[in-house]
Amino acid sequence: MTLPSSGSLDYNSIRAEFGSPSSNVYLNLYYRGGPYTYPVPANANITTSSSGQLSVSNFYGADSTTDYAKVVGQSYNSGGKAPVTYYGTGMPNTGGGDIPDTSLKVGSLSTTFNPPGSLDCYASSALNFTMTFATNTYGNSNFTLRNFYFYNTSGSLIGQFRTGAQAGWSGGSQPTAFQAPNQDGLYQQAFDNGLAGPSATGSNTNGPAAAWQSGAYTVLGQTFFIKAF
Amino acid sequence: MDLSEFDKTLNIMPGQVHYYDEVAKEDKTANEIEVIWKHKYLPVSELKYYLREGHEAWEDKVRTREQEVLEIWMKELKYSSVYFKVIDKKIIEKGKVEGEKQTENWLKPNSSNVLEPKEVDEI
Repeated sequence: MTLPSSGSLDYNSIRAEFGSPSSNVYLNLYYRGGPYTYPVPANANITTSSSGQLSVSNFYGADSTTDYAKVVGQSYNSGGKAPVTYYGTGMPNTGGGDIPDTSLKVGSLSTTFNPPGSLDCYASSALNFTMTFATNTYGNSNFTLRNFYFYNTSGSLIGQFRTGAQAGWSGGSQPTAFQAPNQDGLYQQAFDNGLAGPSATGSNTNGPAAAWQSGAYTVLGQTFFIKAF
Repeated sequence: MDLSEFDKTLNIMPGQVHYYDEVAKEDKTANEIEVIWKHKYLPVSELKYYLREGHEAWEDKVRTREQEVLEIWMKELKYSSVYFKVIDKKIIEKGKVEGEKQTENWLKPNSSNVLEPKEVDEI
């Protein structure tokens, strides 16, 4: 949800949109990059704590954190005879995943990163990206050819991943566990590109595959924010 | 320690606030709501949160704030966040084994909870 882009805007509207723990309205709660205001393009007019003062006019058209997820990524080497380096959070054998803000909007669908298992958002290669969502993502067409934009803590776009033409389908002859996301909300790029489907016309090979459009899967090894609408 | 015995009160603030409704594609007004957490008997602060009525992320934001409130209370009760955390409205010791389910999750972090096993024939 956003604030109006023109007209009436006051301190209380900013507080009511972004949320606040205080009965006094402190604009400095809402510096871009802070816990209430993510460094995403919609908030570009809001200054950071190191770059100046805030005014109400900075907040025209600004977005609260609702539509974006925040992920604390890292890199992890599995070790052993066939080591794999993962980037992101929730990868195997590293605990439950570190996603401080799980809610996000995918297209017009409001959803969340969600267990069962752990909160996953990681990749081990350009062809192997995994995310765990709520079950309302299964068979949801908002996932078809959906761009996921990744911003770092400075607000720079560090990567763009687009799901494949088969993402977001359900039913048909393919097992539900192999669709992307599957019936549990698990999105796996490999299944998106391989077995997901079928399309409405019965083919499961139509359209482009899921792939990184810019940046690389290694950008997931840091704290980042996701915009998917 | 159980922190669950608290009252949560919602008050409507005076005046209306402005927001942009992305579904209707127009500016709208709504009530601003004050949420107050007050524990029934523990000597901890009364804490608040402010958000627009009908906010798309109402449940998520209020739940997040409630967890923050419980963690503030934990610190006010002199529990160090280095050694303790709040789970299910209870203060528990980090790393303490609470039950078999926890042990099972450590041993098999990607067990059948993540992906239900399928019969080979079914695949």
